[in-house]
Amino acid sequence: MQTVMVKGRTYNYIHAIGMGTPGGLGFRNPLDLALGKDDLIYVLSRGSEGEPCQRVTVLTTDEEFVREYGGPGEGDGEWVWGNSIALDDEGRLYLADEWLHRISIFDKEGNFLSKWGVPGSGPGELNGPAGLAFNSKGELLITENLNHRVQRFTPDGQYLGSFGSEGTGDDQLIRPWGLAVDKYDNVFVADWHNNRVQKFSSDGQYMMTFGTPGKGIGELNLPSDVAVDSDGDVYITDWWNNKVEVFDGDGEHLTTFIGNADKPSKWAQQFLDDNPDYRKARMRATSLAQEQLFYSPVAVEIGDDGSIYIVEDQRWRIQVYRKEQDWVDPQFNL
Amino acid sequence: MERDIALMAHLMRRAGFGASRDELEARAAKGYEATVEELLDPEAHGIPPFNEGILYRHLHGFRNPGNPLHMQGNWMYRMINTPRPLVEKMVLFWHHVFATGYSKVDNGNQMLSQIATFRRCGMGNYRDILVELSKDPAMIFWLDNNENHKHAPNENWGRELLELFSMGQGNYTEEDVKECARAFTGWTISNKLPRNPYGRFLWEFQYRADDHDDTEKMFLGHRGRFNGEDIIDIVIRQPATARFIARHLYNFFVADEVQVPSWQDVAPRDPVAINLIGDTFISSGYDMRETLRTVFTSDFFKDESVWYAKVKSPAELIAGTMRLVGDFQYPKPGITTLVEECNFQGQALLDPPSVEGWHTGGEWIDSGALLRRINFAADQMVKQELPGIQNIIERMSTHGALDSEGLVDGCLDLMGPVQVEDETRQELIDHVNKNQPGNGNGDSANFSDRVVGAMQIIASTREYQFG
Repeated sequence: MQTVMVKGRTYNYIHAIGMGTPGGLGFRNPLDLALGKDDLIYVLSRGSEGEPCQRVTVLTTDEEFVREYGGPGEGDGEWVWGNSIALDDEGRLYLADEWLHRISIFDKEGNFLSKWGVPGSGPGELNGPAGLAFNSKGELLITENLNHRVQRFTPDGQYLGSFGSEGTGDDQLIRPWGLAVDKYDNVFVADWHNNRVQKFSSDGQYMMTFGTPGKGIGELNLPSDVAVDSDGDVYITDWWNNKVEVFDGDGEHLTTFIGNADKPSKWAQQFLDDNPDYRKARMRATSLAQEQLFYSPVAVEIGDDGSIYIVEDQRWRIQVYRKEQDWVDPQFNL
Repeated sequence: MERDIALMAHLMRRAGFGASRDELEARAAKGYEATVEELLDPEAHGIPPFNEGILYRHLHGFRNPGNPLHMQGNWMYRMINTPRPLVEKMVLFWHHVFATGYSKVDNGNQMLSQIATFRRCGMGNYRDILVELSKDPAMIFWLDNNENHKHAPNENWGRELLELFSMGQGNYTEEDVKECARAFTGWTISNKLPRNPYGRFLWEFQYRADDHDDTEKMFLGHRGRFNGEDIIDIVIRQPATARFIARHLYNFFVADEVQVPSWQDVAPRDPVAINLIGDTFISSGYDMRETLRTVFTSDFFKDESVWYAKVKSPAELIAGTMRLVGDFQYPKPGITTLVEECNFQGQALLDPPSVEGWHTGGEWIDSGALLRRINFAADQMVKQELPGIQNIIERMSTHGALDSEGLVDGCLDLMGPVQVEDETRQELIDHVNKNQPGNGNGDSANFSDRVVGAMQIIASTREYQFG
């Protein structure tokens, strides 16, 4: 089903972006994306051990390749376990390396600018930085996988404050991952190992919880990321259950996306056109249904036009949905 | 208590991948029989499964691997960290018996799927295991059953089912092989999506009735229009199957035997034990859990004559050493170096040399492999930052001043305990006297160096390399 209408919202599946490649036109184990100005998308490929696939790929939403940069290592402009990225108002890209416990900063062209981060568990120290998001004040919020908290920093790494501690209670976290900030600077945290998303006020006060543990509709199993649209609806990548759950701002479940990639992306089609063996193998396949579904949806971002970008770390692509703003119901007896 | 700890160490080397001293003491306090029961049925005892989420959150490339090192690393990490060691050891056991290779299958996720099947039902009923195996896409492709057609049978799967997976050579005829193959016609795999552009997809088992030879067959003295499951029902009832599985279990868990192809000519090392295992296999209705209970609670298993009567396979040596020193307890970069080491030592996990699997026992050791094994184990012992090493140093430091004899005895105790012959012990003491002299622990750095120095030389002993 390409269109979902639920409680006054209409969601359309739009298209897929990207494919799997060790470099160039594609991604390898993409873990995060950031939406820039001028229709640009930045995609972070985690890659894997022994394969130099780690990179940030910059492309347009209609898959025009712009550039790629970065790579494996511990030097300036390199990373070991790149986990998330965020853009500031000036278009600088911030990248969290959860192995080296540091933040690297790149300019618009992908040139390395600086890095900061001190390993540890004290205030201002980092242990497994996992998710990044800027608030309206330009402060950088970071979740920490192994310190089970959220910290706030200035863009150049000056510690401002933190909230959260290890545990299962309200306002506690276990191995948090992605996070998002809404237009009121409320903070939504994917509380990964507690199978929920928690909402905090801008000063870190617990507000509410989204989702309950489980495999069913509206339930979460190891959620990895969260995004909030301009209406306050909340999108959660339910990583282990291979779906994306959508809630309204009051925590009421709206709908579930399971993946709709019924056509190859532009780059993927180009690959298939250039490689007839693969094209024929795909034509010979008993079913294409498996290809449409999410496999490990790991990150979600919302564009200004209501587009919902969902990154799949095991299918090496992005599926794009859109929340239609001016949808008119069709005649049902057509 | 010392005997309890030593026996527990023996159990954990065989029914698992070794254990730290802390774990051994905790298990010994619980008791041998209770530990066996927990190993046999961890779920019933509240032992959680391995946390896959933690692994894949950090090592994303290990989940649907395109690189065989990532596939192997996935399993190696589980061997090191599994909270259910016997379940994982049985996975290795079945992989030895039902050897299937990446070199042909060329689909890491499919290989891991087969391994997951062993994890799911490897402690269950042997009939169920054989049925699952017959439908396993990796096995079907590995032994060409997708090429086994109604009008053009392929005997590869049928032959190995009888020769290597159930009865063993000498217990069936060539006609039985042909009839067995005919019964499995139509057991195939569906066409899967290609690996590019979106990564690997799993095959699915497909039964094609239109490609199945449904005519009458004569198999092992039975006549009928047999399908695959009928063949398995006949096979598992054969006394030869019970004996074959019993010898495999004895060879893997108790003491090294001659290689499998020699079993039809060479009598078992312990015929009474083989009979006991085989009898339980039959009387339990081919239940592996019951059969393993007989193995681990038997006198022949506990007898000291079979301690160190097995050469550790490279996977056992590496996973066991990691558990001892406390490395890779959480995902981190570098696990592919462990599986490369395993490959270099002669055991490319999930890629055995042939369907016959690996030749085990003394054949793990040649001059090159021996050097690698010793160097690998010894190299790990000097990593004083690792929690397992720190724990041993800390425990040793409570003994007060130690001469070379005390140092060697203490390290032997805490590294296993490892029981060595008197001559070996004296050589170790002489080595320590020469290379790590001193008898005080006032200088903690010097003391730590002495401990890890002794541990290094112990790691090179026959007894450490044996299980």
